[in-house]
Amino acid sequence: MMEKYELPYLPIKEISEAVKTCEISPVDLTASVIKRIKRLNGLLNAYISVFEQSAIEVATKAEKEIRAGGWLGPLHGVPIALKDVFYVKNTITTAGSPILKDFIPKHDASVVKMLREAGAILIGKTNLHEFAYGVTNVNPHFGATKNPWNLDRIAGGSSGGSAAAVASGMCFASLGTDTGGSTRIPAALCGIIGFKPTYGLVSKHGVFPLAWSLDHVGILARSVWDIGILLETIAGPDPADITTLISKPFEAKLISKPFEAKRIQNFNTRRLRVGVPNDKFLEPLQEDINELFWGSLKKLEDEGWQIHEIDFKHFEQLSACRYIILLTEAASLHARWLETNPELYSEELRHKLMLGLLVPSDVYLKAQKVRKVLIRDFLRAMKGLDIVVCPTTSVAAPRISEEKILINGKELSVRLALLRLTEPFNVLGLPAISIPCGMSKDDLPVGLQMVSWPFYDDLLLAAALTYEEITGNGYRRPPL
Amino acid sequence: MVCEYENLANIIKARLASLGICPSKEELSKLSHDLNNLLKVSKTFDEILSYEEEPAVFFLLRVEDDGEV
Repeated sequence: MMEKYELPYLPIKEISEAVKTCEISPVDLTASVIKRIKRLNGLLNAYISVFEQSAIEVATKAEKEIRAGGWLGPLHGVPIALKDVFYVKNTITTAGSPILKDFIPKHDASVVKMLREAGAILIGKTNLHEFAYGVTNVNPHFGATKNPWNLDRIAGGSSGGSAAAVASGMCFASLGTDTGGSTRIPAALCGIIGFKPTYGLVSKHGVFPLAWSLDHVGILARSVWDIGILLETIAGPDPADITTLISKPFEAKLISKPFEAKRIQNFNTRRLRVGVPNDKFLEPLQEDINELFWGSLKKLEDEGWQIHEIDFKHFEQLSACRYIILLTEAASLHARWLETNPELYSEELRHKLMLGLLVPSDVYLKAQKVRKVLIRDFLRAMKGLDIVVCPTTSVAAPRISEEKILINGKELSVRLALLRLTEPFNVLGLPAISIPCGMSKDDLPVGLQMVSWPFYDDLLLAAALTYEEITGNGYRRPPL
Repeated sequence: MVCEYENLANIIKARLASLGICPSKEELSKLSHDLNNLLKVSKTFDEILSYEEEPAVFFLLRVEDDGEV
């Protein structure tokens, strides 16, 4: 029998079995999550809005359906959160900005529709960096999201509210977005798992954009298995999002029940060939992160994984490429509000958007040309490898007020220290996951990032699952 | 304002004015500096780019049942 106080922390895999067999009622489950939100949200500032009434109504309906033998699958009756960029019909979607304080979408995002059809309970909308354009989640309009492991530290961003909510048991999983690391970074800083699928695998229709050609929908959860269950639910072609149409050939392979999360067990991941970028890319790294990373690799090597250095010279160009694409695409979206409501942006964001309006068109196109070359060269460098591995961030969660950070005598902006290892994979569009890798000397979570081939998201999840088993690293409860 | 960015600053001012945006003097100075850096960075792309390369921007044509493209 599951103890009620444990419910909000359990993985979906366990919860869904108990819901299916009526050992746990979706109403009790939802009530336990709401109770936890009421206790903790004042501390963490993870949610912008909570759908208390509608969540209980949906849970009551789910309970009746399940008791009548109509269990829909592992998400039926399970409370899931959404970053406040996902359109939910007739519900305000702020994107973390006062500009959209009255914006009420008339339709659900495609992925929200898919979650509803799978029987999930939408529990609320989570806090984020202003317009998802930043990695700290220090939002001047809605307040900073605090890290559940240390309230003086940032949760990371831009899906920081989602990460804090998942880590502290205020939901069972959350959808986020990832344009340069916005799912993986907060996941690493809060000690959970954050996953960005291959570009084009998951629909972005009805998700407020930041930069169209870099944006991905992400998943935040407490186990790799849970990520698989969510991915299975939301992946696949969507006529409303042209970028997903190329995923069609992979539908049968990935979505055909079982990706069913059982599929991720079918790979032989005991002999994986792993690429590690050279020091020029990895450094500077906080000393304890360096130790935890190489310690984890040693354990994997002892189990038969083969570690190789990956020969790729253009990581700097990847970063420059993303910077130019991000600036330009975001600015083109915001130009009208920059003219009519400049005072409603933070100073920092206004500057980035104005800068984006100044990028010459030939420079943007050149960045998109370079991107093609970089994708080709990186995949050539990956030849013979199954996955690439590196730390998720250069540092553990910085303090909320920190702007610069010193790593091995080198000063870096907090922004760069957090995203320089994740952003290349948005330019490349490759699937990437951050998994807990241990705790820093300051008792803060540290993340390890794995990356795989386009549309080999299932191989990546299988590798991550094996990593969890071999190293024993995974989600741990924060002291709340 | 740093002299070397003066021409750039004038262009920036005109471009933003055409969009109805009026940056402050400090903002203009920072924008000039950052844009200058960005243009320098973009020059490094030439080392790995050939003239034949197409941008990674694409579209697919779809025709709906009612004939709409």
